[in-house]
Amino acid sequence: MTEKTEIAELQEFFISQKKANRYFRYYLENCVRCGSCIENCHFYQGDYTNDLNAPVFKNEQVRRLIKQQSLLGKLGLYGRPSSDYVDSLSYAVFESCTNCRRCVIFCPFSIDISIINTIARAGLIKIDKAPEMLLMLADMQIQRREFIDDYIEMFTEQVNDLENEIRKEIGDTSFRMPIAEKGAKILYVPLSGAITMTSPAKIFHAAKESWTMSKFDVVNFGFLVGDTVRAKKILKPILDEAEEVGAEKLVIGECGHAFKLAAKIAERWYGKLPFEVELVVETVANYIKEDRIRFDKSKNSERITHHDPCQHARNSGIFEEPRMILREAAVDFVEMTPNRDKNWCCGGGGGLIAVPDFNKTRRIGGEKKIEQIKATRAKILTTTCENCKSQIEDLNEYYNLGIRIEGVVDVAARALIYK
Amino acid sequence: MVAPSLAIDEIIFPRMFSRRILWVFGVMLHLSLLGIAVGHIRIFGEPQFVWNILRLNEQGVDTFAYIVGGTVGIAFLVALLVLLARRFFGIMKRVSIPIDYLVLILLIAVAISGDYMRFFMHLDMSEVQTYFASLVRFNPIITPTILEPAFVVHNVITQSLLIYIPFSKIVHMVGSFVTNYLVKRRDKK
Repeated sequence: MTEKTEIAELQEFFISQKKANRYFRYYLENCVRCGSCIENCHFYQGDYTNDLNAPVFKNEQVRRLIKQQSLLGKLGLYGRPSSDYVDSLSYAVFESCTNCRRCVIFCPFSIDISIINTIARAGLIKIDKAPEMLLMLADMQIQRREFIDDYIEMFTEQVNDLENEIRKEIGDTSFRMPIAEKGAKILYVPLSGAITMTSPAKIFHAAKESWTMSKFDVVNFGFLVGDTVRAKKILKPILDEAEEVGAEKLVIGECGHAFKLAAKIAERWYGKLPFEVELVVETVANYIKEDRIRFDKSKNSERITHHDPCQHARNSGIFEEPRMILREAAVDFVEMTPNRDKNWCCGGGGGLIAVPDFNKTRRIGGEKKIEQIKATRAKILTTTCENCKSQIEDLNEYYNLGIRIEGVVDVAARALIYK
Repeated sequence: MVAPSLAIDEIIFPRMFSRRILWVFGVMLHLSLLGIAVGHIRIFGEPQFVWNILRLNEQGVDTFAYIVGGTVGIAFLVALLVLLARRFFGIMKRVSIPIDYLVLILLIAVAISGDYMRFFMHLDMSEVQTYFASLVRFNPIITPTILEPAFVVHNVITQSLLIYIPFSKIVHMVGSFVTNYLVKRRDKK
């Protein structure tokens, strides 16, 4: 396919979306290019020279192509698409945007960049210009879900090993890590690493909770890349499993996009769910409120700072729960500035961390985060998102920060007192 | 409840606080626009009860309109010029598109012609009132005042701007309520 027809196809797709999606239309028409967002993007803070790092210019690429069909667009009043349009759009929406929505906070009209971005990504997937890496990972996940029966034996074995290890560690033989057990009140969905299973398991055990673990991992590369069809295929088995188990609560492991997907977007796709969706730190914070678990603060004596993942804090309103846990479980907890909804994104979200080609841009996007972490002089950085963890670990190595990155539940599990 | 925070967003633009120049002149522009909109009610008839409350006679009304209208008109023009100027520097120059300049230049033309009429000529208000009263009946009465070049420029550009609003970025006068509300609803816990 030549460049020309690719652009034509993209234009057709965007125009059809503009007609179908009211929100998309409002966001496109409302922007006055006031520039309030520009300084508030971490990619622009890292690299001032590239115009495509400014949020307004990322949206502008989409708007410009749609407006070419209007009279004023034909006269050139909306600007012309550049000669390497498809590449620059791909850079703008895949490589230099993590859908962190920090610019939304600073936009006088709250123009939601993530909606425009998702549609642009869908257009690029349609003309086969999406990063293959992410689509491949998504397809692998779908395959794993389809052939879950082949994997389950190996998975059970690994979990049993973990279970035995923890029994020895805490000296309690009644400790269990059940997998998809019917009748449990809580279905916990971990990520693929062992660390994401052990810490919450210890906490559930200490709180004497009736819980079980999901067969699947919660990560959703389909949603990360912005492909709704793949995202649904990856999410649905988890929701079905929760219904099958009869769980009252679906507890999501420390993962950014997966929580937003299950807590907010799943309802838009499937209607009201027959169970509550919670992030694991919310559950732990509830245990503290109900006095079901206690901590020995002295186990966490080093200085800890907390990074608010965009998808949890700004986009879902979970601000106080992780702070409550850290104040209970650690001696020296300091805030970084700015924090909560105005926190800087780590620069690795939206699938960036999974694609090696994006390494350079990703590290540029992390520069603002580095400044923030250095200013706190903390030894440990906690967060509640696996994506942020991998990104900050990479930055830690690359920029020689000398900090340790942990999940909030890991800090809590270390200080746990078993009654 | 999103209504209170929505109202704050629409009135004082707290989201732009971090951009000082933009915020100061943005607020100045919108407040003076509000003042101008209120002031122009006069072309449809004298608001006699207001003058009664302020105890102004015919002479007093003219002085009052001269001072208040003049101040607001100058503030409007200054804000527009600053907002236009910032589009000629750095990143703002690179992200601006011709349409941004077009809207600002149209508004500046309106402001200059309006201020010119305010400061350098005396417009007979009753003739303007007669003209607009007859215009809404599609039977305009044209008098020499209506054909003054400054008035023609002011009138024609304002009307073309009003026609252009639904197709331009000025739709944010309505759209900002919609998008601000949508995001507030979405980001609720």
